[in-house]
Amino acid sequence: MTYSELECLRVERRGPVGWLINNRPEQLNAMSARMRDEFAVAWTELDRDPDVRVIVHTGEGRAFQTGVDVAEIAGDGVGMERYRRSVEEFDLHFTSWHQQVWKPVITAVNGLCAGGGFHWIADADMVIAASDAEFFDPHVSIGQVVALEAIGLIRKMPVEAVMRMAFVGRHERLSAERAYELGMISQIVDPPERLREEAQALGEKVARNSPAAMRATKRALWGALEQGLTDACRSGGQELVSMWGHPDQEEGPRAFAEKREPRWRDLTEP
Amino acid sequence: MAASNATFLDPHVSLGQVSAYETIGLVRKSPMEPVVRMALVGVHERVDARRACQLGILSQVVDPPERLRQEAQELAEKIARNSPAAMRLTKQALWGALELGLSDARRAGAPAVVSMWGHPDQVEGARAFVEKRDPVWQPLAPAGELESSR
Repeated sequence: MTYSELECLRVERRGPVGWLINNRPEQLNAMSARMRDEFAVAWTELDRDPDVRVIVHTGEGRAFQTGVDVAEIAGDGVGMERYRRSVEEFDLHFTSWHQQVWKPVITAVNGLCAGGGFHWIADADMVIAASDAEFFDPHVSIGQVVALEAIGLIRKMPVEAVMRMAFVGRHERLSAERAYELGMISQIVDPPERLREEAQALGEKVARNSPAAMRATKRALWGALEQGLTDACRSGGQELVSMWGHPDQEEGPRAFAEKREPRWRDLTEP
Repeated sequence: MAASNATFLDPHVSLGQVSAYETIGLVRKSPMEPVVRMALVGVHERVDARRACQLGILSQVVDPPERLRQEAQELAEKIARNSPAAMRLTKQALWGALELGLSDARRAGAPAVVSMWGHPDQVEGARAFVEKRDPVWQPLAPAGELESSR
């Protein structure tokens, strides 16, 4: 599959792993209005590519992502107002969660992640980081509210650490090591230069599993954040049963018994 | 708690199965990202006891592993020194907290706090503390007599 030519993002595939790379390194990958629109396209195309089983999201340069492009906001006379309708109506399309991507998504944090950059920490399934990565949330230091990203993080990790970042603003940074201790990320890559290699390796491990079973698992686990425990288990049970009778359920144990790699059904096959 | 040589993995998706009930429970109880990673990596990676303890999936690593049952017995005996009735209501309130939003969970937990007032254990607990002895607790009433949070 060929991907759209984008200005602020790079989209490519390496084996079963689709790559989405923030590509405004001079602006520390801050999100311009154009980049925001391009995210919607990139996620959708990677989700539709049948050869992509896992998606890795990372950044070019010394930052992963640093939120909205403040220079654009300050300089164009329109400011944040251009986003009012989409935020008020919660009609957003720049993360995999917004776009309902049910393939596994790995965020690989290179360098700095600030403010709105947390959207892609909160909305990824797995997060790994280079050992020199740093995290902070400057929203309140520039008179902005932090809500959507932190709300996601609060449901996924210890709350105190998230609150501290929200209120300390730009005056303190969280290290990759602390993020690992807290379970915000599951792997630190050292030396930092090996980040993409390790992300690809993790992606290839994940790509060895049943795409259909992973899709149902992902739905069940994100669904767990929407409901009480009993109701979430009830909904999860539906996902569980949805795989019964699927060819992957016979292929998995057979491949295991025959000591070979399973041949899974593509998600696009009926 | 786990023996220091314990390892954890979730092979469901490597066999074409969905991971749901167990990991849904874990997602509500501990940091989500490492749980999702276990669910999606399947057989291709394991989490060791030390990391599980760091993440709060468990609260104690026993080393050497041979001491696991002894430590489990010791922990259980510590717990067994507390009021059975108060622990039952506490357990209901805390698991109930996973069913509801924060305000609703507190609203549901408040009656549990009050329901122990006037229970003989509340007099005995304070008295034993002052007298520096172990309390003599009441046996648990049948479970049906208590409101379930479910």
